Amino acid sequence: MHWSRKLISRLLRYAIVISTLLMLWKSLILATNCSQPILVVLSGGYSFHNLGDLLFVTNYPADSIRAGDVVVFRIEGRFIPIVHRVIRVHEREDGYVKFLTKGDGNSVDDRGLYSVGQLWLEREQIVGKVKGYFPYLGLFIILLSNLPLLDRLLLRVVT
Amino acid sequence: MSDTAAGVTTADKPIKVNKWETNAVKNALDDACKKYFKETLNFSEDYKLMDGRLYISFIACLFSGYALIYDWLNPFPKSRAILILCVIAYFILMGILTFYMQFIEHGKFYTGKLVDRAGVDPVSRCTVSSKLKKYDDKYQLTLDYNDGTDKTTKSLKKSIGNYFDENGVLCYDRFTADIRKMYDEARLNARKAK
Repeated sequence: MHWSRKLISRLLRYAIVISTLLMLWKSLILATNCSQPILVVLSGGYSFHNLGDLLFVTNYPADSIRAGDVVVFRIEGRFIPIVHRVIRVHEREDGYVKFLTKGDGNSVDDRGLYSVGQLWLEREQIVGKVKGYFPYLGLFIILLSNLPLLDRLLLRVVT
Repeated sequence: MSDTAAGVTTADKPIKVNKWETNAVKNALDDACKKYFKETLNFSEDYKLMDGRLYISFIACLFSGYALIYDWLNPFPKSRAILILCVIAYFILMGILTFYMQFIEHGKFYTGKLVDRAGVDPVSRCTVSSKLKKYDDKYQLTLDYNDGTDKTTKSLKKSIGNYFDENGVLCYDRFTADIRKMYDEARLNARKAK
């Protein structure tokens, strides 16, 4: 057998394995409608989540976000999203909503974390609602994130 | 310990495998069979079956690569439609690939054709497939011989203990002797059927 055929065959075998995992991940994204359906908590103490918890997040449009819900949101310019609880919701008649969040363990709301001048969170900044979590499973991912390149790929969130 | 026969070319060190590992044993036997067909019987290998599998895999990887790149450039909510398309296409292709490997390829690891030098006989084709169940020692080798006009199928089912010694070294001669017998029977059968 020509060496190129052997090489291609081997490469494709690996590529198929990787592609299948990738496609399964993408279908999870599609199913939950959330760009990051599974996240690992990086720091503990400010919320009822601890270091290493694995969070399951969904972002269905019909699932309205109410005060008391724990959400994952992203601030402009920050790469790592934050998971805190929504404490106030402002809703206009035309459907426009904005949110105020606060970490459970914090004594002040998150306005200090938002961008300069921002007092409320927009709906687009919210990655999704936390539906459940699995403790400790994410510790391995945190170990991996210490490697230089994998940093950007891994899904982490701070509380 | 048996060394390879004089009829075989170049640096042929005896193949040694882990005799308890079914996959390795099957692969060793399949490779030896392919080698025999190619070197001794002078068949030229036909890659159509394998290429079909490679093409399907390649197209599937193209879809997944496209989804990856598109999603990287246009983060999630924007790439939704393309993602749905690529994911569905990918899994359909995986289904096709599984079907292909299960039913169309079905254990066939070698397809070869023999072109007669004199140009008198029509091209004869051989398709060889093998089966070795997971913790079983019975290796079944099936030869489909197509003479251009008639087809015969011959198979042999023997314990791998016939071909491997205690250290897991493949006794090439014993294996090829059996293959040769089967091949000759098939040829005879085809001639008789004419």
